[in-house]
Amino acid sequence: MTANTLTTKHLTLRQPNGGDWVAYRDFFLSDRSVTLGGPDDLAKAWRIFAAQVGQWSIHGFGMWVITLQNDDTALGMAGAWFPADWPEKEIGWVIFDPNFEGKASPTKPPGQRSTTLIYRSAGKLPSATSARTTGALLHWQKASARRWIPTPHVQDPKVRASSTATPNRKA
Amino acid sequence: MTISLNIPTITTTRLTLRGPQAQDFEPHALFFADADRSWGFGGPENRNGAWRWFASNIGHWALRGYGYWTITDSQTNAIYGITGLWEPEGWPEAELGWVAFEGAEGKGLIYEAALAARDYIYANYKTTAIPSYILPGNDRSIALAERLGATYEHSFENISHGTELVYRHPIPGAPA
Repeated sequence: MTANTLTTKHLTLRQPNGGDWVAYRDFFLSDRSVTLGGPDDLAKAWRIFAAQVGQWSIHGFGMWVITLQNDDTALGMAGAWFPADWPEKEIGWVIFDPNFEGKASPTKPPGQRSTTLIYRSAGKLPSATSARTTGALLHWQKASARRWIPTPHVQDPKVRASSTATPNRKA
Repeated sequence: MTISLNIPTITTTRLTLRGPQAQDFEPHALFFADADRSWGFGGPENRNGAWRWFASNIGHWALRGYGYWTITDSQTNAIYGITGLWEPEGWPEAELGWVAFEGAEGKGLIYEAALAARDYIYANYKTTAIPSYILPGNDRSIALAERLGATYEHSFENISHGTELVYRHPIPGAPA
């Protein structure tokens, strides 16, 4: 696997793998997933998890799994989602564990980490400040979508891409 | 592209079984939109649902190391259907599955593909007899299972599809 990995000041964003399944499952089978259309049953949760992995192969972009830099545990996901018949490429995010929500600093112990970091990691999102809930989804403006690259947040000086952005094959 | 799948290719007399490619999606979407054809495979699904299944199959290859191959004509590259080893979360065992897309029936193509897939599976992935799960009333699929030498074993409650029939394939090395 040639990972398309991003590094922020505190976080690593990497492609999903089988080790992320349990964290993904526990979120999507819980009531916390209601804002993302859940809770799902086990079969649906796995199908979409597998589709997340497959999307990277189909499009060359997808949702990254968010981890701390020194711990590979999946804390959530952020990135692009573009299934067939979706009106536009969409950027979304989710925090699996409520202990990582609502705090500002990732340097504090678990339980005091922040969705704000997800906004920062995901980059310059139109109207990002209006997104208040985990699972809130934003659409890129049409102009951005036409010029889509999978690492738009390289514009954010806090973020650097550790590998070359993959051009969108459908651009 | 960014996820290396290393999906093996299998060739038979007439067919090439290869990993799913992006251009295979449209035939999948047509299949899933056809309720008469796809009801035995969890359909019908709209294009969005079909894409999610299609993407999940590619993810299945990445996560499990096996999945559904796309069945193509070795001469014309026409796409006839899919066959492979399927084991999503909640499945009791990995099963051999197959799907015939429109126009592919009646020529023994899916039989040829499923037989080659099964041989490959036994040679590379599984050493014990594998099942195929079939919805009651899917007579064409039952007929193919029986042609492959599989026999009805029992019924069970599938996590996604409700009651299904388990057809057990011959053990590896047994005469088909």
